[in-house]
Amino acid sequence: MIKILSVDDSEAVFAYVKCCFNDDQYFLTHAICGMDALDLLKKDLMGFDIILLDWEMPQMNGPEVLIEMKKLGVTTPIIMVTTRNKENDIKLILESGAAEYIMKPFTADIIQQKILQLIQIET
Amino acid sequence: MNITPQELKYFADYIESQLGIVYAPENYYQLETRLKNIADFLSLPDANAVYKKAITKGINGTFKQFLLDTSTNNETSFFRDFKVFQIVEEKILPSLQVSFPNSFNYRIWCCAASFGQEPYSLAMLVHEFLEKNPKHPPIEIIATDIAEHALKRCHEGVYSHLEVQRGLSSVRLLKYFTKNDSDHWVLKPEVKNRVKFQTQNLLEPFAGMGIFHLIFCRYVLIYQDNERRKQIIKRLEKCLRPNGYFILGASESALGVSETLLHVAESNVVFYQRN
Repeated sequence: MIKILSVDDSEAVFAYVKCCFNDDQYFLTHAICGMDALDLLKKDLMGFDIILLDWEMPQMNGPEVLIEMKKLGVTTPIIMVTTRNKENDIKLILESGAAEYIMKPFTADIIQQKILQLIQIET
Repeated sequence: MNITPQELKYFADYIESQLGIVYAPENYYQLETRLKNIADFLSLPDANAVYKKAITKGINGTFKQFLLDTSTNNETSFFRDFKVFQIVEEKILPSLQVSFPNSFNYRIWCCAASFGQEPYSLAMLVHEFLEKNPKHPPIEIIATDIAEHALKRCHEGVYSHLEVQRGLSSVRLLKYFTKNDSDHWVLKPEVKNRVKFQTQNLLEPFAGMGIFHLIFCRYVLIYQDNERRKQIIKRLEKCLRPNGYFILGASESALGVSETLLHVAESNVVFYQRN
């Protein structure tokens, strides 16, 4: 089973992400903000196989959460999922340690394939 | 209320503009089925209500996501079956000079260029391999397709943000593409110029194609009947050098077609090598 942590303040986006992983192969956990995600990771640093991270969130934005996750020692592949689609945005996030970058809107096959590819590379 | 062909055309045109996927009128029934699924998801009574929502409120947000999602079945992608490309990268390209010591340039034929994702994926691997091995003899890629409109798109080398996300890593996206003003991604010349495109019907003679070290013929033969499939494989085999590599799609097989095409299985990938 692939354990995914989705960090996104939008319930609608999370509902769509849930549709993308609507089978027994995946187990999805939702954190509605960066702080919640960091709390979950502090409890269990290796608790997830993949982290999906939104950019635009109140309090802490995605890039800030990404930096905090790296400080915490998170080695789980992190995928930034965002409407931002400029080359410099992608560059910044990859240089900050994200494993992948998904531009919204995306389709189920895109997110599934990126996750499977990252997991196969990891194993 | 039933949705009309004109209303279905509205969605067909939208999907074509966003994804490059063409719904011909005879396939509108597929589109209608998909719109009914979207109606369920959006808690609307039927496909006609989906149309009304589209023209009054626009196609955006989750609605857009779901519409594009349900329209992309069977679309081609970059590095489709990426393990196959791993074999090319890690085994085939590094072994070319050993397997073919008398060759001074190497040739790859991609038999179904489609919109260019497969030949350009190969071109990226070749580019990276030659960057690491600058003294290696040149590697030429010829990509053919029967469809002129597909080859036109190959020549343009311009892809939507959904197309570039399908199979392509973000690292390669940044390395090989630039974004244009209309939010599309344009392939850079260092990869684009590595592929030569030409029209070729696989059922017609391969006059002037020459001899190849590697032939990619993936997901084309599934559309042929058994006899034609065998004939095409035998004719392609004649275009392969001894020791040359032949790669089919995951659901396709050359077993029993030729005694000189040897079946090789590596890392869960099946390919063939001419003896």
